[in-house]
Amino acid sequence: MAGGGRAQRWASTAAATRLVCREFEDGSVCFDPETGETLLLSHLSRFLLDLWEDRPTRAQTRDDLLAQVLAVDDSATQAPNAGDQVDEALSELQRAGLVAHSACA
Amino acid sequence: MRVKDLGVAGCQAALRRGLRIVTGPFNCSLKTDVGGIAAELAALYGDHELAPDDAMVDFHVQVAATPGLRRWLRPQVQFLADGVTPFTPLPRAQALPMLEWGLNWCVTAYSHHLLVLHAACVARDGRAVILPAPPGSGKSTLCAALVNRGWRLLSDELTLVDLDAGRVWGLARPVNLKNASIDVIRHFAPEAFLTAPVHDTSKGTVALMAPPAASVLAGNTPARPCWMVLPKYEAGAAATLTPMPRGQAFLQIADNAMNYHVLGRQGFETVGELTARCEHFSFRYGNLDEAMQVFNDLARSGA
Repeated sequence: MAGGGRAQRWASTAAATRLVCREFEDGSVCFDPETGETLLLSHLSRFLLDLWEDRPTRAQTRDDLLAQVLAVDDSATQAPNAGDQVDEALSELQRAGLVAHSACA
Repeated sequence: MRVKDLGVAGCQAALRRGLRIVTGPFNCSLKTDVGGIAAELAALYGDHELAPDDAMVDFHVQVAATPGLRRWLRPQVQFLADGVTPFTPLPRAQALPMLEWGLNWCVTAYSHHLLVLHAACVARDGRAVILPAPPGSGKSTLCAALVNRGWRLLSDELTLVDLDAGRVWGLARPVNLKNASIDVIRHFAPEAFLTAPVHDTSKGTVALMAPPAASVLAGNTPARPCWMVLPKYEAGAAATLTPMPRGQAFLQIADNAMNYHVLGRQGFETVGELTARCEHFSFRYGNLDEAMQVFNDLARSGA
C-alpha cells in the first residue's frame, strides 16, 4: 500500500489540477504545461484523479476512494483485488507528485 | 532549372557564391570554398530545383576552411549558419557530412511552425510511415532500402509534421548511411549513388546516398501520416511487426520530437493528434528483403 494506512487521507496536488490529458486504449497521457513533463497514467489512476476534480483539496481515505471505484466498476473484480489496484494507482500518482498525504487527517 | 543542369563546374561556381536550392518547404543557400566536394554535392542534389533569384532563403549555410596556419598543417572546416558557428571545426575530409548535419541543425533549431521529429519518413500512395528510432537501430538502412524499392523518401532524419498533425512534409535530402549499412545498401541497391565513405567521423564511417529523383520531384507535396513504426535491426531476427498501444506510442513520438518542449502545450496537442491518427508498431528485422515484404503488406492494408 502507498505510504500510510487505510485511514491515511489523500488529496490531489497543485500539479494535478494543471494537467492536460488525452485518453488512449492503454491509459491517459497527461501533460503538465508548467513543467513540460509528460506521463502515461493507467485508467484507474486517471479515474482517481478525476475524483478530486471538483474539490482538489478534499481529503479522502483509501477506503473512500475504493468505494467510489467499486460503485462504478461493473467488472467482476473482487474488492480485495480492487483494493490492491487502488493502492498501486495511488503509488503511481504519489510518485508522479499528483497526490500527497493530506495534512487534515 | 535543377542543380544537375549547372554541371559540376557550374555547381562549383554557384557554391562559391551560394547555391540556392529548394528542399521541401525550405529554400537554402549552400556555400563552400572547399574544393573537391562540388562533384558529390552536384550528384546528391542533382534533382533539386534551384530557388528563384527573388525567393526568400530560409537558411544560409556555409562550410568554410578555417583560417590560420592550421589551414596548411591539418586542414579543418567549420560550419556557419547565417554567420553563426554552432559546432567545433572538423577535419576537411568531413566537409560534406558536416554540411548535411549542419542543415539538419538549422531545420531543427528554427522550424517551430512544425513538429520536428527525429525520424525517417517514407510514403506510398500519399500515406506516410514515420520511423523514429535511436542511432544504431537500422532506421536509415531501412529507409534507404525502402526508397530504393518504390517508396517515396520524405526524410531519413527529420520528419516535419504540421501542427494539426494532418500532413507530413517532404525533405528529400541525402540519406546518411553509417558503417556496415554502407555496404549493405551498395549491395541492396547498386544503382543508387553513394558518396565516397568518410572515415573517423563522430558517427563512424559515413556515406551519403542521393535521394531518388521521384522523391525530390514530389517536392512540396505533403503525405498523410498513417503509421508509426519503431524499427530495430537484430541480426538473424525474422521480420516481425508488433502492434503498440497508443499511450506508449505517444511517449515514443514525444521522446523523438526535437521541439516538443519548445512547443509546450501545442507540442502535446500535435503529438496527441498524430498518435490518434496513426496505427503504431514496433518492428524487428534481420533481413531487408523480408522487411520490404512487411512494409508492402502494410501499404496494402487499410489504415
